[in-house]
Amino acid sequence: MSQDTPLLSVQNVGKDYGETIGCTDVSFDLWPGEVLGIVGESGSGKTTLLNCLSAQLEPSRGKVIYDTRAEGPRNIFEMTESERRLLMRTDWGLVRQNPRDGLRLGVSAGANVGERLMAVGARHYGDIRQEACDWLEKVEIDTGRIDHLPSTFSGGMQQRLQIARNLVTNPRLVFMDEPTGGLDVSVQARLLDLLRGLVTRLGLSAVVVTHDLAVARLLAHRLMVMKGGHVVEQGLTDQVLDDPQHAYTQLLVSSILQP
Amino acid sequence: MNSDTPMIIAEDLGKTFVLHNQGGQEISVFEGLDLTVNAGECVVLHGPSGAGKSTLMRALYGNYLVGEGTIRVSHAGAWVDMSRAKPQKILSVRKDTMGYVSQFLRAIPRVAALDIVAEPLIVRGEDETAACERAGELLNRLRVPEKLWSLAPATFSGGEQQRVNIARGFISDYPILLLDEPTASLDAQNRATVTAMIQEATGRGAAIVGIFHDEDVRNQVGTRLFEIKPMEKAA
Amino acid sequence: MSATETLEGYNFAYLDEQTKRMIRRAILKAVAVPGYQVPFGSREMPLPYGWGTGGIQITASVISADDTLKVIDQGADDTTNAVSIRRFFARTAGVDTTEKTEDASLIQTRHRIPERALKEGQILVYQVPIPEPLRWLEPRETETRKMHALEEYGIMHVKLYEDIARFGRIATAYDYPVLVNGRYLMRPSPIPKFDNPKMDNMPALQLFGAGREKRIYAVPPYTDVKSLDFDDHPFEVQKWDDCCALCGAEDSYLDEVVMDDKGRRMFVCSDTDYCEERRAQGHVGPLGTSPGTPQAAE
Repeated sequence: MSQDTPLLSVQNVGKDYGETIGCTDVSFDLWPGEVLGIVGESGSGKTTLLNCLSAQLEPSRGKVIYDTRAEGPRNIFEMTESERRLLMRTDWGLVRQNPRDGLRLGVSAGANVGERLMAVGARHYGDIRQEACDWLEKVEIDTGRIDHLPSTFSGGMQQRLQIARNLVTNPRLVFMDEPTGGLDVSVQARLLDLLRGLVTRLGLSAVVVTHDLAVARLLAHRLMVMKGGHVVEQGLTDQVLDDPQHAYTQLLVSSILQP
Repeated sequence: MNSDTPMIIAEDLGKTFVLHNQGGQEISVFEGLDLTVNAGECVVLHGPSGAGKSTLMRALYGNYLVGEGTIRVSHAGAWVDMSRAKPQKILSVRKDTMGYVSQFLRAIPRVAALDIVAEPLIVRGEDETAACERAGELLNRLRVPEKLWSLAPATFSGGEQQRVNIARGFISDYPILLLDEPTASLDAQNRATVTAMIQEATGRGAAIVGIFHDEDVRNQVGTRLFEIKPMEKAA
Repeated sequence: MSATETLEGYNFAYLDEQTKRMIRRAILKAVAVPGYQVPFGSREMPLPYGWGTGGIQITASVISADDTLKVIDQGADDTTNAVSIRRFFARTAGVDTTEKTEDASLIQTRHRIPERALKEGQILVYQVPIPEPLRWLEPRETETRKMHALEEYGIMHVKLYEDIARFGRIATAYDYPVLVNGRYLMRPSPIPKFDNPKMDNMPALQLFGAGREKRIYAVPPYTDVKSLDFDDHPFEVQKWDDCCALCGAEDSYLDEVVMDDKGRRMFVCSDTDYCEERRAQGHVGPLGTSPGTPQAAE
């Protein structure tokens, strides 16, 4: 991994839904250890963009080039499906807004965390369980609950479990879609603090979609503001939030409620 | 201390705010502004309220964009133009070269005061224990009671928050320091401590740009005044 | 073919020749790609789904007049299902039938593999209720097919992990997942895992038919069949403290039989042919009397 090569290079990515534009003309480089926030209102195309970047949706145009560990930069949509799926469950993580979409609710917390390990060939039960325990601790879940089903967990715990499940294979890039959406404020704060710590400590790169500017300020080094499928402004997080240039960003920033 | 080594060279700076949501109203803050700050110097920005002192400071830090001009900063043996550098370059300047103490602490939920202070060192890859030890020394010096160290500063008094902020700004011996009214809500004793800390920083060769409301502090730490005159507001 | 015994008006072995050709093609493909589930056009058979319609269609397609057929259900030759299917082929194909594993050229089975080792030239036909091993976690057929194609089988271990986490050991006792020829994950049909080792490198051809799910798959002779496990929880088969009450066998799969209302019970071989053969050789278990004594009624 070289500092000269971006981890993810996005070039003119666009996605149309028939006549409707999902997102268009998106280009940026994401560097190792960098967290990019994508903000915008509902329908601005930020989730469409995230889905394109994370290979869940094939873009109508453009390239998404990822600096793979083995072979260097490759367009993820020119990989074979098996290469892409392997990448998605080893070197990437995907944290969904609703933890119920990102967890297997029918199996225990430990199995949820261990699944990725088993998927890449771990075949020692004791080791897998130990690793699962370590990760539950890291995300502040009582290890005594390792055999409980996630459906018995609170929303905040489910979200933390989802994070552990994703990070267990030491991915280099994590996509997060509204990671704190739907959580109450105190739970949100805990999760943000945890995410912030993990990202710094593990040197993760991340793309975080959120409509919450406070979340963006706390997590992201850099911001991209989207409206109507277009990127209207991007730059350093505090610069975009403190000295917004585009009319829409100014509106967004001035619309925050102060407690 | 070498007072002939420029650390910041700002040339022909112009800054205008455009308020798109208020009929595109334009507010010009300054234009044609030149400022050079040498190592070991403490330049005090001087001018009435609303003249653009904080705006200039934030522009130097890369927090505000400038419309015209360049802001060159000596970073790791090379010049970086803060007005045009890429975000990751600006972050790297902030990590290693330039510290900023604002009037207000932006508290992070759940993070203890000690960790907030120690963070700049840890981010630079220094040992966590040593960083926390150093953070403790600074908090002690600034008379933040030890029982507060493990608490998140969101609930601290204004003065306490300010001191946490100062400790955080001074923990890493940045070659350049930007101080936006660091002594605003401090009592005499703490003001004296901060004054001493600023003098120590210029003493080790740091280039400092500061805004100080308090005349005593200004006189004690400032090596030079830089006048900022308010521009006529555009209609 | 002893035409005199067969039913008038039906084709040999009930199915029409076009259907047999279609099924034989599916079988050939299944043999060529061990463990891969080949879709086929399953026909309506004169018995309900779940009674072995998949197995019967395979048997009907591979049987010839000089075959000797054995049919077992849970190891027994004399249960309703086994008797009906055996009689079905005796009447529609006029083939010889037997209860002796050794004498059979074709064995259709539900839920067991005979204790006596099978040999080259024999064919074992399994009745399969649900062919897809990944179905428990992935309801979409498109997705399970993709998982097979890309060999994404790690998830199967999640199931075994759950077993150990919950019971301290792999508690799955039947239909225990196997990897065939180092490539395809396969459900062996609901045989006890006791029988899994017999599938490995078996000299006989093993064919699997799922009538309702319309899938055929196969394990050719001498093919590796590995039961999934963990390094620290290796695959193990069931063991009994008892031996067969009738023949004294200690190496066979035992059924528990309740003998009276007072809760008395005994363990007997589930493979009736094996048990009888042993008794004929003079082996006697703790409750056994003389050779030929009928089993306790269920």
